Amino acid sequence: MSEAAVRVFVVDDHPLVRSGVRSELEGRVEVVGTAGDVDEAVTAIAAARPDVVLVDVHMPGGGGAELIRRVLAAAGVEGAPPAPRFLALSVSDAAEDVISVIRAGARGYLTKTVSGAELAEAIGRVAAGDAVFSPRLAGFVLDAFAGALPARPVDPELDQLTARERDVLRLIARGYAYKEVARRLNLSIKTVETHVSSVLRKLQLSSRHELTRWATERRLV
Amino acid sequence: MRPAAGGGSLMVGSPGPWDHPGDGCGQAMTGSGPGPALRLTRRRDGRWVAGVCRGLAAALGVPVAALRAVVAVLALGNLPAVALLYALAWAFLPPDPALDAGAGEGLEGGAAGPAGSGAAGFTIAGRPADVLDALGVLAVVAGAVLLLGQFTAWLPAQVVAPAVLASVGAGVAWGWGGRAAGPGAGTGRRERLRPLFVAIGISLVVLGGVATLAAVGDLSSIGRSAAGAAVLVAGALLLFGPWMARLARSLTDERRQRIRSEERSEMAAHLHDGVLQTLALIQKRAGDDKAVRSLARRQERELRSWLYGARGAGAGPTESNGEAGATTVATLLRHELDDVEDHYGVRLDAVLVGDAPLDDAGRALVAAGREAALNAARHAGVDTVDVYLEVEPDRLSLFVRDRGRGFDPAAVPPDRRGLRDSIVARLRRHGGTAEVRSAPGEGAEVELSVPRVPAPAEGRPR
Repeated sequence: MSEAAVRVFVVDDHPLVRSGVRSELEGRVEVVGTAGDVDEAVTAIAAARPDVVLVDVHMPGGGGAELIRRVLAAAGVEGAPPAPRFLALSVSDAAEDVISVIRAGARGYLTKTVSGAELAEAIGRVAAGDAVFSPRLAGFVLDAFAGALPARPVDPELDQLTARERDVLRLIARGYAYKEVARRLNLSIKTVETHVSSVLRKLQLSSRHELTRWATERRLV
Repeated sequence: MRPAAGGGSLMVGSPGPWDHPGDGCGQAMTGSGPGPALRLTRRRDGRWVAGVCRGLAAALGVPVAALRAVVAVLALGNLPAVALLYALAWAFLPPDPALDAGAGEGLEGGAAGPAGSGAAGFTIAGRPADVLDALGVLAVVAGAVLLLGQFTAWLPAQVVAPAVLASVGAGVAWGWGGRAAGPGAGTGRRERLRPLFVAIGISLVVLGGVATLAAVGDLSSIGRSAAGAAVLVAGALLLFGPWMARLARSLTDERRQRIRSEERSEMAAHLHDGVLQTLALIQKRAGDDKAVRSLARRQERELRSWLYGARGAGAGPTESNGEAGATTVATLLRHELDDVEDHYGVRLDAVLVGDAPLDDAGRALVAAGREAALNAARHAGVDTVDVYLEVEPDRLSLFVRDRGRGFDPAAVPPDRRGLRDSIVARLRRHGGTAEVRSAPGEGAEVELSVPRVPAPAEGRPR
């Protein structure tokens, strides 16, 4: 973050939110563009080549998950420039929203109540390739990966959390920042980031069939 | 002559209120004229076979025994025809929906009422009135065929079948072609289609008549009669198919529309009672930071629980889960946290993992957690406090954390009873523990934990 400013693109169907996020990020990152719906965003992102895309979960035209899928698919073509990284930003705390956008490829999930400073920090983290877990997302993961393994796990490594990952997630769910987690567990921040990224990978790739069912059933606030 | 009487009673059963008495075909059926409105159902009480006679007798107001006798005599005379008619009636007549509590009365009353007033009562058992129209035609034609059958001695089923189908065709043309399938159905297209229906119906009747006459004239020409019947079956299918599809569609449309409008009005009511009121209050108290924040937060919570929450569904904008209503640790905790938020204007970000049925230990934990949250709200000097509840198989853990000014736990004066009594002592009574981690300037975290009484089943709702 200290070198060149991170280039950020904001996708949200509410103009108020777009301008609010833009002004909050002023001076912390470089906002290179905004879009109000999925189609517009796909074209504009291809042109603006941002590092990080802040994406709203609920939007006309398929929502955040759809946007992520389309941009990632376009970037998968040979010769295409590398895809940006995605950070979901939403007012919804519904588990199915969170899980669906993470599984589509977002590297983190924040609610719109975060402060500008927190948001900028999270953007920097995502730009660096790490994952951003809010307390709530950590709680969701702990809940979703609770219980015994499925009887015939496709990939046991992907379908459960290690004890260390659990410790890290618990502290994040309790409101600890990564730095605080590291201090509490006597780990380096880098190690904490590695654990969190590994959890994100499991969340995205796990075949745990409970995951989706859990998310739809768990319509908690 | 008994057969004639039987035919007569059936003809009385034909409904009078045709929409289009001027139609050419009307002449062929005018045996009945504007008779009493008929409310035909199958009556399952006191039935012998399928309740057709029972229902007919109730609708006509004649003794069921007499009607049965007539039918029996008719059957002696022409078994295939009677059997066919009976089967058709069985298939078409809706079963009486409610036999108890005055439903029978309604039937009798409806039968006696004048034709014009029968409009509302004409829909029986949820079926459109048009079915009854068709049945009326069916009854008229069938009666005529039966009469004819008695005069020509033994009328084979091959003759009866085309005639019955012809009557069905007429019913389709007149009844369904002429009326809207439902209140929600668009009338424009129907109006345009009606002449077509009538035309098809008329041709069906003519075809049926020709086939019948041909069969009567030459009893040996069964083949021709069968061909006639086949034509009629095809015609009837042509007519029935689209109609049934349309009826089904109009019913689903109607239901969907109703659900949507109900949802919309519920949404409007909710927005009005909750959101608009809150916005008005916020404008009025714009100078009071704390009040505005607390109002906005409360409204956010309510809206959230209403939109996403399982608990808010259907409940009003008010607290849907009072302390008394809470049956699990998580719901009680939520309720308590909401309460603290309302009173202190602090945001309590709660993350709850798992849930468990509420028992005494859970109650003590939540009460201690509330006290910890209150302390943080009062003393930490921050806007946000994190709360984390985890339900594990063997224990419940609750963490309350703030990034406020912090304090030295060892230096808490003994007269600060809140922490000591409300938190530590309360949990100790249930075998639990409370730990406070804090230092000046470092915020504070209270860790509360109680062992779970080994429950027979795992408490996590899956």
